[in-house]
Amino acid sequence: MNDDNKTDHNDNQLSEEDKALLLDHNYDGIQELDYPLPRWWLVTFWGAILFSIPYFIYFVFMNGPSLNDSYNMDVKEIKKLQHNYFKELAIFKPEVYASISQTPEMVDFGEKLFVQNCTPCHGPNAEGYIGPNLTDGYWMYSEGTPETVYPFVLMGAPAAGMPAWADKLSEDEVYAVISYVMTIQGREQVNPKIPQGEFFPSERLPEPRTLPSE
Amino acid sequence: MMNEKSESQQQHLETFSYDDDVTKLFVTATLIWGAVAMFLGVLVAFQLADWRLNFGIEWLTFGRLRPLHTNAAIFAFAGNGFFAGIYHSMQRLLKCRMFNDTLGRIHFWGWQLIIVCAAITLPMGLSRSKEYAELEWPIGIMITIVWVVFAVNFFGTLFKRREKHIYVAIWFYIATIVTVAVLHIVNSLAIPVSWTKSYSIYAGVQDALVQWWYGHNAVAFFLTTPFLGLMYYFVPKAANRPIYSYRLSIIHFWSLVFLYIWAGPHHLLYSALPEWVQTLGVVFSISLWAPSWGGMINGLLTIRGVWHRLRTDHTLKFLATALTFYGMSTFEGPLLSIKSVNSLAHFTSWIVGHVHSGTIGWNYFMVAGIFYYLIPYLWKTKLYSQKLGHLHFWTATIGLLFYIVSMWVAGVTQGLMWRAIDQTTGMLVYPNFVETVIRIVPMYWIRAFGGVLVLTSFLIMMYNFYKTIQGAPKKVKPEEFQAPALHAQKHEATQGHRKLEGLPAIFSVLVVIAILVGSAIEILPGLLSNHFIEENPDIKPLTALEQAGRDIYTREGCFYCHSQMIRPMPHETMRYGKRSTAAEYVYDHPFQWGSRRTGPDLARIGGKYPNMWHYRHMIDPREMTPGSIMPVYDWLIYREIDFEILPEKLTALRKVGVPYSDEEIQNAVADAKEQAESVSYMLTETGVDASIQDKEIVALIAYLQRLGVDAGESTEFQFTEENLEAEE
Repeated sequence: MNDDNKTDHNDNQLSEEDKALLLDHNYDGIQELDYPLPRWWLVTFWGAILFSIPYFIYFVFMNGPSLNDSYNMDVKEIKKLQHNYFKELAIFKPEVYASISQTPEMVDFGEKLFVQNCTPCHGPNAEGYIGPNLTDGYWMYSEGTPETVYPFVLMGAPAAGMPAWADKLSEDEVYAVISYVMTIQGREQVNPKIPQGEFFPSERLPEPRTLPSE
Repeated sequence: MMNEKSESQQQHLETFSYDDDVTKLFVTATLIWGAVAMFLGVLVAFQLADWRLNFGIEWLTFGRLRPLHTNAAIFAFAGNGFFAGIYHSMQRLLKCRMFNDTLGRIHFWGWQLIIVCAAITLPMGLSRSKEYAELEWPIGIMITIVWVVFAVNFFGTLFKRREKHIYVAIWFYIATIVTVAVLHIVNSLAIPVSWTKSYSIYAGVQDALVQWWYGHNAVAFFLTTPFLGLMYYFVPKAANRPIYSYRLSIIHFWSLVFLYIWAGPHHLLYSALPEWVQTLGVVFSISLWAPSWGGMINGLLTIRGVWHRLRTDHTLKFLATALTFYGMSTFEGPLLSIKSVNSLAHFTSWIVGHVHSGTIGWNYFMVAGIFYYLIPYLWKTKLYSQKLGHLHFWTATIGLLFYIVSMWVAGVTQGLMWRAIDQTTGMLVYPNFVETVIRIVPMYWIRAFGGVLVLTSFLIMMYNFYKTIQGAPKKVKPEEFQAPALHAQKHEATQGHRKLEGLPAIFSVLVVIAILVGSAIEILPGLLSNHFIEENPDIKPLTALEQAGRDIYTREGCFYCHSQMIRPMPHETMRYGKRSTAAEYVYDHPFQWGSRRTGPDLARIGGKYPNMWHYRHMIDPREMTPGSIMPVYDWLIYREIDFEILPEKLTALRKVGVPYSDEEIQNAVADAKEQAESVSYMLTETGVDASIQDKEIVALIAYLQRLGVDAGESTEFQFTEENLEAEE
């Protein structure tokens, strides 16, 4: 601590101006000056209040745009963009799929996406877990071909727990995942889930290996 | 010694001393709880950086420790800190010993008992789930009693004062005492179910409004006004200079007290709160900027002329820095209240940074500055080490800067990632929430490092004070003072505000009126009328099992990391589903809108994933969401649901307005068991042991699967055939 903590204010720290503005208040040695309020402070103080009144009146009493109004405007813009995108996205493009499925790097990328997004429900080896086995040739919502799996992946089946992936994966990413899934048809599983859906033969899996229990 | 008024009064002099022992008690408690609060802060900061740091123990999980950290920092550290300062300064400013020494001891020990109760109950998960008002009702009543004891002691002292006029510091103390009492009582109203469980009497939108009226004004009247009062005592003392402007004191005091109370709704912008209340919150927050800065400039300009002493005087250095951070955060506050800024910053770490620039930069630094003055003064000795004082200051300041900057970067980064929409496809750029979490984890580490520095600075200060007190003379005779009694003094007639300063009872009544005006206009319409909540007959009360699940949700403090409020912004409705409406929350006692999205919003989580997903996710969140930072909640798999209490819970909820029928209450246990069986059937089918059906996880899953379901689905942004055909 400094030792100059005395309750005597009438030392040379007070300027002439200070001395003129010193009030006779004294509380435990604390005195008060009476400087006028700084002009910039007054401007801020009254400025904020003067801004507030018309602002409040405009938004509350004069039908200024509500949060819903501005939301709906934003939505309109975005839906326009999405509509175009979805229209384009909805069309299965065999040539794009072919080029992706024939590029090993893209299939590896598809595997990575599968591990990140699909294994939590379909199991680490796609053997089925929360969702169905994807390697046994049985399909519930598609016919197991790229062009029938494609729209299902995009739209999902919320009732069955399959989310829509159109808003989470890009078009190329969906093709990559499907390319990967097609490469693991007929995979030998240690502990596969009971088959669900209908059997659709494919090149890798022309005959069912397991039968539905019921 | 004392300032004598006139020759003729000298014969009436009374001799008295001050109760400094109570101040010393509060000083000691402040130092101990401060260390605890900051240690807890550091622990939870590291838990966000690495989820394993609850060590698998439920009592140490983030959701249970975060309320303990905030309560310890606010009520234990800052509270004890300003009590110490108030007991010291008010006796001297009023030339009067405290009204009653015993009341002071009851206040002290009662307050510490409350803190100990908090430290036991919060980690156990006993929580009202309302931020900074988590303590269950028996502790809430203890707080009320202790606060009344403090108030009686305070106003009793005012009554027997020997100083005619009350100084500006006392004005702020009055505002603190009356307003905190009003806030605490109104926000704590609840219907008990048992000694350890109660439901807020308010629901949904109303609960949110009352809670943030409380929460915001806890910041105002527990962390701001008492400290401004202390600033008005300790800054002129340390600077040895008169207060810069008496008229500024008057104007900024009254404008602050009147305006502050209105600003609470800025915590609920873009929520389901009626928009006129939101807009009120915005304009009053902006209007609050100048009154707040009035306090800062009155403090800083008081130091004018002795700036050079900041180099050597720890008190002045800390007080001046505290005022600077106060100015910074009271500028940032109005800025964050502007709707467009708020739309980016709300739910992000920016708010967390803002809060800490206040509690660390303002409250901690104020306490430190005051204690560098008070401890040598009270113990009649000198500070042990000047060097450690400097080290303390720089460690604290640098730590705080790491904290604020990392949170600012994290907040803006995550806020921008959430709202990023691809301008060609109209799709979210980061549709997976976890991507936005992984991106800011490095900032969590930097924040935790900043926190370690702040904690270290506190320990340095504690050591310095410990050595100071240790080296103090053991027995000191209390100093005696003399002053004439108030009735024996002659005073010239005064006018206007000066006259009011001589009438503390009327002064206090005016303060109460000033804070009640805003409170009444904002809160009463929402409480008295349902006019502001659109009706939706599809919204039904939770089933008994779902309510049991909700009580687990509140016990675990899920809402500290997960919001239940989808704002009207395209990126939110694309990510989470349609915007939340007031009608959806009419049975929510308490509301669980949350204030920070460390994880994604859960308002419409119901039906989004299979039950098995939730089951696996609670056991290992990373199995379902790689990169998740959520802790493991495996105790939910072993702990059994308390079915027997359900009828009492539903009865209590019926008392606060949830329309459960007699039948539903009578059959609560059976209904809950039946629903538990059907929920767990979907689990046991996939191989989970059948005994799961009476475990807590089943109730929690039932609750989560219900969230948002009543409001119906939105296909607005979904890739569906209807959406493709529509338009054009």
